[in-house]
Amino acid sequence: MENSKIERRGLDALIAEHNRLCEGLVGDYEKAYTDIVVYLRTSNMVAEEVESCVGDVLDMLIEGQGKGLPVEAIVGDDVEAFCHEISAAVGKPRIKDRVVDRFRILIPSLQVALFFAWFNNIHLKDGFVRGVTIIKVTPAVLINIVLMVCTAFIIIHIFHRNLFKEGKGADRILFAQFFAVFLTLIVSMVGLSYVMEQWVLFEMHVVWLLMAMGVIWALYTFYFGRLPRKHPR
Amino acid sequence: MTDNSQLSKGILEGCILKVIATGETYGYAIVEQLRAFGFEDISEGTVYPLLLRLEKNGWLKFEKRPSELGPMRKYYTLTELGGEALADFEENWSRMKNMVERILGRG
Repeated sequence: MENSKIERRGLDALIAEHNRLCEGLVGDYEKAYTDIVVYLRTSNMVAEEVESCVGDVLDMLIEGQGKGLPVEAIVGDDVEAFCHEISAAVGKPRIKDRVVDRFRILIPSLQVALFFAWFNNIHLKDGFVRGVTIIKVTPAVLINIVLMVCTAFIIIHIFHRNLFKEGKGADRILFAQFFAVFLTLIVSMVGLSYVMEQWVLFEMHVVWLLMAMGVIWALYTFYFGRLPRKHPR
Repeated sequence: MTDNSQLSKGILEGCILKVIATGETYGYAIVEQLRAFGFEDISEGTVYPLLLRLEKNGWLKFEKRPSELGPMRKYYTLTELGGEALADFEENWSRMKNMVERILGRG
């Protein structure tokens, strides 16, 4: 469907512009915008679709605020229903678009997981700090990297599901869900590391790890941050 | 979603297509025109998801131009498919209107 011109700026630049423009929103407009943006950015919509909708919503809200209208006159009485309608209207993304879009979450969480894999390798032995330059890769290290990445996706999903639930009960449920996820992650990581400590698959110098992280980050920045991307709609 | 809601949305989509057919326009201006025709309680929050759906169906195309205060704004026009969809809506509406008026004893 050829409905729009090719975006001339990277997605990160568009997000930065939206974040700058929204600073003019105040009061109920600011709250509505925050709820809508968090919903859209944690939904299953691909990032280009999300930011296209965010731009449209921002235009509506800025104009409505400028005319002195109540925010309900712009987004309706039910912001949650408005968000669901947008999501339903956009529809499910193609599998290919969704897979590519997931790399936007996968790559930063992979970077964090690699850092923790290195950090977890550092230990005291015979009074000296060891494991800083040579990383012992065990099955636990690889499994823990996968667990951390999965946790990132789960956290986003929990945010999305609990966004419009209000009240003290809702806050407690949200806290309990986050606590359960992080507790499971920590126990799993520590337990696996302890059990599989002796099963060293291979050793690698930290320089290789840093190079891998640098290459991954460069590819991520080049693909998602700077390259003009064709609008999916 | 109730059947009444679906019916209302279908009618509203047809009305939006007609408004856009009269000239290039954008979201808030569409809402103002609909309100002028009697849709007093309508908000941009109702119209915007419908615009997304119409665009996804290939019935609308848009051009982005800078707005006065905010981000780039979409100005919509009908595509050829949209013109055909509007013609279908006008025909179906005329037929439905006649049927309902006959049932209500006014036809």
